[in-house]
Amino acid sequence: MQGVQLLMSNTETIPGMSITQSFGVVTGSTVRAKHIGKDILAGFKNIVGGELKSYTELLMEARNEALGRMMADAMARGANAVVNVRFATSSVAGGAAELFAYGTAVAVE
Amino acid sequence: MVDFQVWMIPVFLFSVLPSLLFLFSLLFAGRYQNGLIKKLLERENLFLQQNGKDNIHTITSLYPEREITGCGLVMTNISIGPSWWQMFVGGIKAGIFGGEVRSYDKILAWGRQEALQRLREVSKVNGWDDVINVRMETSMLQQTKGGNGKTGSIEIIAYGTGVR
Repeated sequence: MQGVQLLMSNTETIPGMSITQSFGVVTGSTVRAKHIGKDILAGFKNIVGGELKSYTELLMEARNEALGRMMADAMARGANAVVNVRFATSSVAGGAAELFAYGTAVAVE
Repeated sequence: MVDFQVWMIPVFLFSVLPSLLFLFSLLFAGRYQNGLIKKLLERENLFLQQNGKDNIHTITSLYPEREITGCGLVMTNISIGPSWWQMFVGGIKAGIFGGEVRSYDKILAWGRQEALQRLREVSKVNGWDDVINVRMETSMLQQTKGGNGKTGSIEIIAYGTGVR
């Protein structure tokens, strides 16, 4: 996966290039939860409100992971770009969150 | 002066300390959040001065039109939590009286603006001139683990296609 640059956009096309072939929907997802120590620390930060940095970092990392899995899926299909990338988040039981990324794998020139 | 006794430890931990923290939340959370809003406004103004114009758009074309030579996904997030006091007031308002729940307004508005401001800054750092097709999404992350029910956290993401 290293060294190969996959183009990504959340628009219908890759600006400045034309799509020659579509490979269908590619997805990537991951479920994450934080350990109890961070949970408690975030609870204390909640006293005054504001940003909960540990959650921000965890979710960013997880979303990059989901994106990476989506890119791996797209590469396995022989695509060199993913268009119309969308994100979805849902909280599943026990304080865990599912981060989900999906898009359409295409070949562009 | 009362002598120290072992039963005082749990009483302090589970009743006195939370009450004190709650009082602290009531007195200082508003001030802290006002500070955050002020800092964000300063950053927005500074960015506008340096860049000359806003560089994020929800539309997919650039006006005036110009040649696009590269693109890539830009994504930022922030996870925010209201203060204990705001959660308490919001809970009473939503659970009993209904109607508009104002106590979450401040932190949500700040979180959204902060996410957008991060998108502006991150796209600049990554070398994109503009970001098109910006989308925002808000999701509630529930914390049932640990079980104190005191952490409410809301995640806001903003993403778009960076172009140069």
